[in-house]
Amino acid sequence: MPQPLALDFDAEAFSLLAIQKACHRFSNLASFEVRFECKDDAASISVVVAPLASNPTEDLTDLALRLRNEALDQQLREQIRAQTEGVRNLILAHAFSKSGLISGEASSASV
Amino acid sequence: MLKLRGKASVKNASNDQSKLLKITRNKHLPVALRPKHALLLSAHDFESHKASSPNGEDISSDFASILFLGSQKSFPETVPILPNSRDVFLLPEDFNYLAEGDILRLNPATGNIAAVFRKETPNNSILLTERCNHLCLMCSQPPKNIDDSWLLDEAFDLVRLMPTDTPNIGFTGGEPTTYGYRFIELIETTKRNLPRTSVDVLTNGRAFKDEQYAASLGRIKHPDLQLGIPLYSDDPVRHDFIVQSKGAFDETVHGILNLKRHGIRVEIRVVVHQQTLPRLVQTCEFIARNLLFVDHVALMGLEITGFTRANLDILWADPHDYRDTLSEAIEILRTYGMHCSVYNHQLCVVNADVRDVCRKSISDWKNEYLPECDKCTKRPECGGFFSTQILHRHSDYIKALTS
Amino acid sequence: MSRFQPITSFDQQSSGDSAQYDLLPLRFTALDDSRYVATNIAGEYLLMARDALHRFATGKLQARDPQYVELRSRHFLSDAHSKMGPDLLAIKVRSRHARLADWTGLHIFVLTLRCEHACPYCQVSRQSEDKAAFDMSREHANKAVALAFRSPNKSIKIEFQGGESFLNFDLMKHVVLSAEAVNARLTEPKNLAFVAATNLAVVTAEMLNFCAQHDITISTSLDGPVDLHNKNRPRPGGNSYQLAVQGIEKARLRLGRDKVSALMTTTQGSLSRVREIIDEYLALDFQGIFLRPLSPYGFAVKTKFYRAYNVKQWLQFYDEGLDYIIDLNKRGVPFREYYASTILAKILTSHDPGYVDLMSPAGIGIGAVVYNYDGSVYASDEARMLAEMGDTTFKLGTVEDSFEALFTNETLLQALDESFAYSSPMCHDCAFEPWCGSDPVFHWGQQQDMIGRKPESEFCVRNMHIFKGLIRRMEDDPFVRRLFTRWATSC
Repeated sequence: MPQPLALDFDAEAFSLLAIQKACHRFSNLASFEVRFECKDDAASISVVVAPLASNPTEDLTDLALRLRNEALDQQLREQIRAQTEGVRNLILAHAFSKSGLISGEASSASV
Repeated sequence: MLKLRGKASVKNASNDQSKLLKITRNKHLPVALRPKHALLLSAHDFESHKASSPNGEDISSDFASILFLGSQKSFPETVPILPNSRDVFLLPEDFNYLAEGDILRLNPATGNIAAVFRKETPNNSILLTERCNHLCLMCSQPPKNIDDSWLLDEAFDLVRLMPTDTPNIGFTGGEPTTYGYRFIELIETTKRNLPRTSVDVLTNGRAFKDEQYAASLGRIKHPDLQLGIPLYSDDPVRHDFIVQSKGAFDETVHGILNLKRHGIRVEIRVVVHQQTLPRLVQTCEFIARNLLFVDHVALMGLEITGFTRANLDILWADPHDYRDTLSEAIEILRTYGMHCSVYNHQLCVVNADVRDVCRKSISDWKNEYLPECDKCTKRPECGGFFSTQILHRHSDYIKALTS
Repeated sequence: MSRFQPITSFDQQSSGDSAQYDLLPLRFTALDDSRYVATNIAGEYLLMARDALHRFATGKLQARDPQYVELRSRHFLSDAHSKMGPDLLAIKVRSRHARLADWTGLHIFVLTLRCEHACPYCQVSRQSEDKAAFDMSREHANKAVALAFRSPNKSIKIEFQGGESFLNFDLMKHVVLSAEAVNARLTEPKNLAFVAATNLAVVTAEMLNFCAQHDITISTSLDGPVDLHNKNRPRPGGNSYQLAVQGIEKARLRLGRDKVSALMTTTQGSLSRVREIIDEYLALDFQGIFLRPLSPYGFAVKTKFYRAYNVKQWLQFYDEGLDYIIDLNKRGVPFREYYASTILAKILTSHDPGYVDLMSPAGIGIGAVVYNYDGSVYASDEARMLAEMGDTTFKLGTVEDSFEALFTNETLLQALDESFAYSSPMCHDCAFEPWCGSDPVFHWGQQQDMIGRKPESEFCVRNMHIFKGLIRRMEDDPFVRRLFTRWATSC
């Protein structure tokens, strides 16, 4: 069984949630311990990747690289969500309001 | 190509302003009806009259106008032309097509005449204004910024004069909604006076971004009304460029949505040329994904008139060259279940797979053919050419289909 | 002409630096190492390279980037040129969800558990003559019909299952006639349709006459060529295939060609023979095939049939089958794959095909409901099968219960609520969520968790693989794109 790997993520660049979500995605391949740490004014999120008993041969080095990429993606998703939250609510409110455009709901027929 | 407007010399001109009159050939028309009619006589009729009544005594003076068809040669100045009749128009030969039931606008002071309604034509088009808030690169009716609201006034009169068995009329411009709520009234009046006539309106649809305006049209509940609205691209910049108006795309789309919300039939029209071709397929995909509920999509060929001629270098594309793009575009619309048509394309320059949606628009000033077409087996189904296409520009690949 | 402005004067974006635009809601998931699938809130997709996506999502895309115009027209961004995006997206979202108001269209009546076949993978049947023990009673049937008509859906489909549904033909007739009578008395009659699931082995001319008169369509089983089919589906005489083929022929003659459909079940023995199975369907004049996996319920689990192959093997089977079907189409044979068609409808249109197994909120209860032979009511066919294995979690009640009690059943509501894909971890971020579903019964059965941990979920693995595979095929080949669009729009 390979040794556990330790990774660090800059807490200024990544939210804890983004890291958690990234880890969750690979949770069938390895086990993850996520911790928020504050050292000398530098905040970081540490992740320890350990092999699972059910999957002992997983290449943790490669997994760590994939995890970094996934963390970037998750962070981006958060950013997108934050920026589009307002218009998303607007669209959904409009979608489920009473305006009729789909057949059967037109407010007046032409004949 | 039929000449619809012209000038005639007028004898015994009255002080009447421009007036609309129905044409009859029946000189025994009941007296009560004559003041609203113009009596149409051919040179032959005139000749036979001369024999029996040299001074034209038996032609009633009750008619609002007398129209003589024939060349100037038939009417020597010396013949006294029906001294008892007023507004005698000597029509040039171009107007030989006039027939019973047609409606003419006559101006005794200027001699101007215009055929505004023709009974034999299945699709009569009524011009409401030449004003427009667009300046389409390929406009066939270049806008004029003048007060021509008399055209609207006349339209109200016309729909009250036209026979009630008229199958179809079209209201065009310019932009008909320039008249705001008077346009809505016109549709209402048309419904009342021609309840069985289908109505097509060509409009850029922008005025309908005001939902109240769309609602007012919907409330009329016209039994057979369709609005033909151009949408030239899925790309708002490209659409706005083609119509030369910023913000046009959004307002037109908004208008279409409102019209559909209020139960009005909408046809989307796309003119196929150099500026629309780069995104024609994407535009049809856009229509299929976003405007699936419109009633019809029409892809139209260029008419080489108006601004098209001035912009030909940036507009012209040979249909033969873009036939695959056209096929792809139509296939998308059809796959998504949309009703679609191709207009103004000759059958030999489109792929076989779109021939069944190529419509032969039956308007008698449009269907002309080339000599090559004489041997074409598909000629009866093919709409042929606009005379402007024959005159100025058509595909280089016109070839008779012989299978 | 000087009075005409060039296109550049209509483009307010600068040609150099980043364009000025706002993001519209979007999600992304990797398609492969270099490309991402991005979907907008209406479930429409666009492919982007990874770095292009990052640039786009962080506001750094340039107006002259070739994808900029696409991103705007397809409603991934809005800018100064058009604000209609949100309105159009709202309409599309609304269309996709329109079906929610018309819930429970499919009503499954288990007329009997009796069956003369002994298929090892069968979920529920009994080889028994005991009608009293295993047939639905008339009283239960009447109550079930009454419940079915309480559905708000304007279209009701009644599906007869078993065991072998025709072994209780008397009750089938009764249900059809009483449903028609009830419908006729409604002020607004519903669109009523009937389907009978049957192995066709016991069907008679009289039965087919009745089906013809009442427009009942037939859904039968055809697992593949004769040896495969008979091995999967043993019966006394070992002639299941022969009877099925004869039955299909007779049913078609009496009812019409498009009134008979067939379903196959994939077993270990099927895995290497997908082309033969498809050829079998072709030879028998079917228009298409539904390549479906084996559900982990009933006898399938008991006899370890389910674990006989894993999801990877099934996906290989599926891919080979789909590629073969595409190839057939290229050779001019119009044959389709129905599972792909259903998914493609979700990808390429705003029309929900109403496939119960791929719905979010889940199709349990609100997509379909099952009235079992013993009068119990289940939220889905899988729920019934789970109950046969001893787990009655998804039993809604019995036909003696009121409509309101059944459909406000606490477990049902909880399952619908919790398993809603949009709110589930991983699904929440997934670009494919608009096309996917949630399957709380499956996840409950596998992981004892209605939501399921998606990293371990075979439901997720299977669907993701299929979504990516369909997109890749469409993007790589215009013929396939056109073919798939036809499948999607006629689903």
